[in-house]
Amino acid sequence: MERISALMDGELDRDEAAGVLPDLRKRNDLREAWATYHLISDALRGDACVDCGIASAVATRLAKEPTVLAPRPGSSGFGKRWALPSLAAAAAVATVTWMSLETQQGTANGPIAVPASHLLVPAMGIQAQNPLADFAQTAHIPNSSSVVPPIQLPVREFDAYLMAHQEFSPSTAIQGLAPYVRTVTSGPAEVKR
Amino acid sequence: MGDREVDQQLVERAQRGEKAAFELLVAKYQRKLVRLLSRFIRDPTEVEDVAQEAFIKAYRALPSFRGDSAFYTWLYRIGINTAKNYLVALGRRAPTVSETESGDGEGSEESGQVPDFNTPENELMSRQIAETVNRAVEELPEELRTAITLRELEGLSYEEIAGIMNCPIGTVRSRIFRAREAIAEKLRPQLETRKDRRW
Repeated sequence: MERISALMDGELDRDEAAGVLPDLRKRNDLREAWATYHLISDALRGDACVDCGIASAVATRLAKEPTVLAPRPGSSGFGKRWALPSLAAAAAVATVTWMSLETQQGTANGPIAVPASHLLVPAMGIQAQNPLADFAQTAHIPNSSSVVPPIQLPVREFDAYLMAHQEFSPSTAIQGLAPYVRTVTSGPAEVKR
Repeated sequence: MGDREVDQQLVERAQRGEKAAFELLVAKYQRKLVRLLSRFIRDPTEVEDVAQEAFIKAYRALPSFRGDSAFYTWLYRIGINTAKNYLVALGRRAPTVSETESGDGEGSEESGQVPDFNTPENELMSRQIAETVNRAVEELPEELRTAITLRELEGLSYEEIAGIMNCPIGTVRSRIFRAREAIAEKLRPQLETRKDRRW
């Protein structure tokens, strides 16, 4: 009973309260004490309606009400607020990473991707359709008699080619300082050679 | 655990299907809600009906209560809206914004003039209860009377009361409990005569 008195005053610590609340559900004498202490409190404060009898009427109506079941605050609060945005952010990062890897792989791992127009392919029988297709077209050319096979440039010539055209490279899509830094850092190597 | 936290715990239990937890909140706030509603509705019987309706609406709306505000503030809004709807349905004037939003629900209804809610039967019962409680308080030993008065009338915390009475907090807790029990002991015969009383 003393714990009920302290609980209604908001003076019970968390552990004690956690022990009392289940007891309140089970024990009729504790619920009676809760109601009586609140009645005393209101009476001391001069409430005009000391004994309303509303609680009993509400209890009767509540018994006929379907039981409400709400999602637990832990799952609804943190989960709903943060899970979806986090997933969206992760998906966005994954997409950007995948796209950048795809771009890098296209230039680093596979056969050297060189715009067809720069290789003077039209002169060899392939007509560039439009400027965008021109850049998108790589040296992955199907092996057939009517199609020119990939052109392999000597490494040295290719380095010179890349140096000359690096600002058009997809890897330098971010304009600004990056192309300049690469030029400077690869410069000494070229000098040594 | 503060008063608001206790309410929140009860709300969460009610949200998990414990109707008894919600009944504890009804027992706690029924008089406060009635006092609020009787500012707008004169007829005591109507006030009681609207108060019941407000509690039932609150119970049904429990899944949407997230604890962003105190439970009573939330209940206060439901009570005001229920009273408004009731009055509008009857073709009477609903409470205005200034009447309903004079505060956040925490004690704001105490500032207004509260009409006499009681029916003759309730009035008699209320008067008897009030007399019994006041007499019981006067008969308490001084240390119990001081403790319960500082708590209930001055609204002081146990720590503040301990400072004033120069005793440990545990002693304050015990004195307030003993005071309540002594008053309740005098009150119980009267409460048992009420057939419709829940507990």
